[in-house]
Amino acid sequence: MARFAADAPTRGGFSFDLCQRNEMLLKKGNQLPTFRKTGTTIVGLVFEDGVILGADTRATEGPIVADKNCEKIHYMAPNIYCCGAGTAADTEAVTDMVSSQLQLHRYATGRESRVITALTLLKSHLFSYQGHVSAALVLGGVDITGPHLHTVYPHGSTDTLPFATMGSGSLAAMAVFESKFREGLTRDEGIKLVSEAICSGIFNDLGSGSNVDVCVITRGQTEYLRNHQLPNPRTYVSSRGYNFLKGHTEVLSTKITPLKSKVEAAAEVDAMEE
Amino acid sequence: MERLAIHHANGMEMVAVKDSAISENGTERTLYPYVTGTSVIGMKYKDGVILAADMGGSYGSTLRYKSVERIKHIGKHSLLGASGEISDFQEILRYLDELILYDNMWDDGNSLGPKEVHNYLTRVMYNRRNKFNPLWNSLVLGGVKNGQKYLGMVGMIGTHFEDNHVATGFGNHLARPILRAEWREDLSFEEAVKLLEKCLLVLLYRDRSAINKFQIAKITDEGVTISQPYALKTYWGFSAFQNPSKGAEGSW
Repeated sequence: MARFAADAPTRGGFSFDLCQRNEMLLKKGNQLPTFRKTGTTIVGLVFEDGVILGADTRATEGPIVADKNCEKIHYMAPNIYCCGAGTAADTEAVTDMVSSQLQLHRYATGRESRVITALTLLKSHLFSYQGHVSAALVLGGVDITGPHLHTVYPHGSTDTLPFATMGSGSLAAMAVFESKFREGLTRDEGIKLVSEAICSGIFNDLGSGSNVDVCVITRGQTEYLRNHQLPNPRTYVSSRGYNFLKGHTEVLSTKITPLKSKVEAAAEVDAMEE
Repeated sequence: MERLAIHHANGMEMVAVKDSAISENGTERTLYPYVTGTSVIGMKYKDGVILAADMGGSYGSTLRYKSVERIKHIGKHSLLGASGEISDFQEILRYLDELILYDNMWDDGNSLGPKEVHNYLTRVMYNRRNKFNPLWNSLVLGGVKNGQKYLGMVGMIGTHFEDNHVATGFGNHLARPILRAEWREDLSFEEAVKLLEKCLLVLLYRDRSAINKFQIAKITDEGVTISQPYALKTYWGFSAFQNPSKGAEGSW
């Protein structure tokens, strides 16, 4: 590894030294374990008073659903939230890290965090890891300069958009947005459109499913509507659910053993230590 | 890319098997498509079946041909739309031409309906796939015979099915969610065209190989109509597009 100054202080962060060894192992046939991905539909849109973010709640590990009701809308600051798609560990770690950095920055500046601050912190971190941190994010919030909505890609590029979708269900959700979005939506219209887009991802994409989470961010107020819609309820054959009344199961034989006769209070035993 | 190995045994060359990939003249089976058409969407409506496709033929990432008719009528009762390799589509049209010709020669008052043509296409595609030499297309077959509406799809590996609305290529991801949410049994022609145009617009925005030149074809008991090419109106006037980095100086 070339170093431009021989006495440069060692910096923290990811060390790429083991990559050569990993490649050699792969060539020998040793497969790396797969990571849990979120196989997701996440969306965001700008409406007249602020930003609305939406996400599904299914986390997949290959073909298996690892978590039926996970939370994909992460807290960054009181006025900034971030949806994450890609590897679950990466999205959690990177949003937690930037959230802490924003908190420290708030203490240092004494001001409310701005969305572009979060954006710059995220994109410089992801770029320096050259796409190995597999986090695709939809970042939205309202700060002193107005409402903002951005997408961040794993390699570190960003877009500023009026409406955005990411994840495996992004095409299904984008189809809904492209045909129904217009500027200046009201709060209820915005929530309805976001829910429709997420439902489109849930029902048309295999990697997305379960419930709809929505987060509405406006100037001075944030509403996190966890499980705003539950379009995939557990369905029971009987309308009463599982409820086994007495008499449903045939009793073949009964044997009652009273336990009292087994337990004998020994009179000579000392009292317990206090 | 599968290649059949040619074994040498005892220094003697084995007789080349009929469907060996490599002969002295080069490879003899389709490995990848060259000139391709993008999505086709189709749906049943009240009076019949309606299909739509754009008129682009891409050569890799170049838009080489801009007037390719990807929807053709087959006999009296069917419409065929194809995405994928254009030359294979033209070959299929020749097969179907021969099929319809032989059917007409019987002169028995019967004519091949969409169900029969769909079945024929399925057999052709599946047999080619079994010989590792596929016709690289996704076909949409729609038609009406004796008042019965029919809409089916055949893929390049022989997968075939019937449905109320179908889409190929990118249409699977972008148009199908819209059709699933908004298709109804009793759409009028105008409503069906509106729904189709909604899907075509999303495809135009989000599919890089789509062009703004479409043909819509309808088939009813009365006959076939393939429209003249026309364009859709796109909207680019979002205020966020005017100055994307307005609140974020220096970002992009």
